[in-house]
Amino acid sequence: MRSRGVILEPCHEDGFDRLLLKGTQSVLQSLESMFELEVENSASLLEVVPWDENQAPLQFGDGPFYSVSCGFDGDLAGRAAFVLSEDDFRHLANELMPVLSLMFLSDPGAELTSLEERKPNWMEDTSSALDDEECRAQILDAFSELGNVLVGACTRAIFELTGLRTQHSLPVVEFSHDRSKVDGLLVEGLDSPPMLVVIDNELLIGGRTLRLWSFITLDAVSFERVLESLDSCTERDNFSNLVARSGPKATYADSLAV
Amino acid sequence: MASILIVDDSAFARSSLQIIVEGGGHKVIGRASNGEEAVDLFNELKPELVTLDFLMAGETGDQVLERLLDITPDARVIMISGMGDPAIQEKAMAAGAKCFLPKPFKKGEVLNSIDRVLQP
Repeated sequence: MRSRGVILEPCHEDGFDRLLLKGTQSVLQSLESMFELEVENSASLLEVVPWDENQAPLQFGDGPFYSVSCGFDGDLAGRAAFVLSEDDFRHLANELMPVLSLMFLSDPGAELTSLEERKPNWMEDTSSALDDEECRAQILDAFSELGNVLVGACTRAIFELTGLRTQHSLPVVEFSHDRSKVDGLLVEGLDSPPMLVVIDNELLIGGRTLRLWSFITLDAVSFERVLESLDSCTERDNFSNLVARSGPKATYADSLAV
Repeated sequence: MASILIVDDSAFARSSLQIIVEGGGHKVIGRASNGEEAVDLFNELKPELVTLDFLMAGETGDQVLERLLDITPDARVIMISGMGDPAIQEKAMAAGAKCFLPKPFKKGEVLNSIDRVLQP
């Protein structure tokens, strides 16, 4: 992990490293179990930076993008957003076609014996799937559900690391060319300038590398709570040793087994 | 084989669950995307078991569960949620759910939970 504009103690860095490993593991598991995708994580990086309204909008490549975002409250108050470039989203959507086709055809009234008759046009030409209104709705719904599961995995990881409890709101999916929109989503409703946690995951899916950006903002009080909780972490020595030995592919479960 | 009502605001989640439970030999007799639809279909179809998502627009799963239990006090309901706070599970069980499943759900876990909840 790395940080800018904030000084973190080694135990805090260990904590964020664990969050990265746990979060990445959750992304892979969610993609595999929800969509039956074979996914490899080729690289991942976590960065902690103070939110700066004057800095350039969040950096996640050029061009239009899809985002799924939500808020959370409880012991911690903040926002979360997951972002994919349009190109990467189209590739992911294409990879989802086999599963989504089955989903589409399992609509009420569909008899599994009549799948061939009900086969929609977009199954014949998956490159146009996002241009088909009905199919696009299916894909966006799946992306929203993925966001729901991912933010749940993040809050679960935070709970397991810190004991802090949070509940998230309904996720909202957006397609936009304007990256300042994500800036707005991430500070919406927060009283104080937040701290920003950025997780950049490179995922190898279907022979192509996708970049999934995860942004989590925490208000100042919440960030302090996270640091205080990490201060009392009891597993950090074992975990530090494990990361030093095994590198970033180690999992949190592995750390517990040391 | 049990008759099952699936309640989830995500079409993807509803379809995923339907494929899993029908693959396990059960019959999905209704799908609802919110609390109101869930209560209507529960009254109309009288399912043996309900899978109920916790986080939905409008009423949350525990509120819907309360309404279902008002209709049928011994209703068999499996609460499902992608929320990471263990308090949600505690809340669901305290509200009267027979079982709790975290998202993303796995086929084996879903079918085992259904079997367990259906046991007399």
